[in-house]
Amino acid sequence: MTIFIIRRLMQSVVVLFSMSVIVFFGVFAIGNPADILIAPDATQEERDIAIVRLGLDQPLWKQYGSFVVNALQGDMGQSFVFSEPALKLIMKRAPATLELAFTALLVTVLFGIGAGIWCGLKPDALSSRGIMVGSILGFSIPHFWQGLVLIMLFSVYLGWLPAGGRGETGELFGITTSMATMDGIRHLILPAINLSLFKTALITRLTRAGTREAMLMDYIKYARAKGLSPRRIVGVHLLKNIMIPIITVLGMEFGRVIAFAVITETIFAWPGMGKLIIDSINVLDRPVIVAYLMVVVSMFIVINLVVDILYTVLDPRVRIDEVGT
Amino acid sequence: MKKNTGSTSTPFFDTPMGNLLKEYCENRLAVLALGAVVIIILIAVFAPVLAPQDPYDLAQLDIMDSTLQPMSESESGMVYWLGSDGQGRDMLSAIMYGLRTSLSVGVFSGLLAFLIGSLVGLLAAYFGGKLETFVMRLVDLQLSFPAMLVALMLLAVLGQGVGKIIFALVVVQWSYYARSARGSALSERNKEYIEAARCLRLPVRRVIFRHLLPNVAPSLIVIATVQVAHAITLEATLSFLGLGLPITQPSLGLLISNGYHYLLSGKYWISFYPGVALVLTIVCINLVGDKLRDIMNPRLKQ
Repeated sequence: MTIFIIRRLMQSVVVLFSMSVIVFFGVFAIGNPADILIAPDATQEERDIAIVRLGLDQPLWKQYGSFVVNALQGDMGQSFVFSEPALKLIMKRAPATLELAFTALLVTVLFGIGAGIWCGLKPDALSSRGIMVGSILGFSIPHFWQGLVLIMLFSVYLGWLPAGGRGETGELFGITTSMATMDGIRHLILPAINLSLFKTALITRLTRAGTREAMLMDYIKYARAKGLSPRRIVGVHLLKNIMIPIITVLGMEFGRVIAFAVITETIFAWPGMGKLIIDSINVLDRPVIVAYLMVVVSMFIVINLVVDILYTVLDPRVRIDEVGT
Repeated sequence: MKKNTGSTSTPFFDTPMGNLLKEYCENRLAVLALGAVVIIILIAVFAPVLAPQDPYDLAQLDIMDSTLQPMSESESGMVYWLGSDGQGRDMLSAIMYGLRTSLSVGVFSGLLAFLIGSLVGLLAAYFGGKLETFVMRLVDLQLSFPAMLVALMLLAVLGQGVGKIIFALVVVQWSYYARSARGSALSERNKEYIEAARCLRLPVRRVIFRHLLPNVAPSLIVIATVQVAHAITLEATLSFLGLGLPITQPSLGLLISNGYHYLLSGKYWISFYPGVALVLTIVCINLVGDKLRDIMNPRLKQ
């Protein structure tokens, strides 16, 4: 187990390093930032000063070298636009994204597992078939268009919920969050639904398949023969056994939620990391782009690592394999 | 289609392709979806002929006709079935042209990824060793990131353009083909016919392309259908975010993005109908892919 973790950690470092090279040199391939950042009516002298100040006069490899050294100290460079450390900028926006991601995941778990078990227990009921058709739609309808339709329906046509922004935030257990105020919650509903629809569809199908398979197993029959209440059978015996694949998928989906938050945040003008990256790409704010990509790649590496470890902990069969090899 | 309702042993249906066709036609929904896909492709191909208006010919546009409601008629007598956008473009025509761009980008990138991915996968399976380890590590690594994020990173790094988005889509998709090609090729590699071909000292190229590939192809074709739908979605999403295609070649995603600004003032049709076209396309392709997968999956056969 320890060797496995160490090996995975070393792999992660290699991935992170190669990503930093690709991202850094790639970002330098697009356009000359000096043209964008320095006002066109600046004199040559002002231009030169600005270029030196931004470090754009150094050779590429030197810029990369100082980038790596600084990045290891948590300094990813200054945003050209905001004149603030890029990492700080991202970290300032991260809570909004994480809040959205966690809410979406919560919605996914509640509705996905609930609907999945329902459909698995009563596969022929009309409601189950309706849910399954709905899940196909959830898969097929592009994420961003779902968001637009939600705005169309609930904000423009019905006027129930706000179409954009984060609303009023408040303190809750020392964290600034939209969930603390009624206004914030109202702002949170649509983006969270948008972000979770696809995942809910996925988890519903997964849970349904698992439930249908598990219900035929002997241990369920035995539990029933023992006279346990259906609630206990479903809540304990069934749930425990179908959780393994669901947790793995949920772990991977958490990363996906962060990636797709880019779209949701753009549509709902949610002031998170995703909106920041799109804005930064549009103005070629290179330090922010590089920092964002590095932060997200690191996040993914950590998530994948945790999911792998969780998997071996949860499923004894995997552990036996690991020992055997 | 009528042929297979009668006797099932007509000679035509004894060929592998015929059997496939017959099995496919058993599901009415799948046939319907296939028909819809064909119609959508025809619309995309013949868009310049079918569209009531060339939406990118400025001479045909009138700013007075901008943001017309669906079904309304302009002064010149033209009926805007699906309304018009901010520049007075007929949405129906714009959608037909957008479909053209979306489909061609999706199909072309899918095809390219198909070729590259399956070739790499086949080579990896055939030769094994270090090449295989390297390729599979790369595939695993890439698949651990969502496609959307990889494409976003690439475009953030590369900038906009048709070539760039196709490149990004190919990079994102090749790994699926490579993984699947390797998987099926590995199980085929040890079968007698490959051994026989090798014993005949046929050149490696011939063994791979004439013997291995045809037997791996069915599973790859299934992936290809689903991947094309995926590519179209991805392209639309990236264009919506402003990272995909340039404004001169509007795809459905870009049309939706244009309509986004009118959404809050209640002019839903500018982004709603392109979205409907996009969803219909994707759903139909997915339905066809699903049915194909069921047919090809021997485990589901009794």
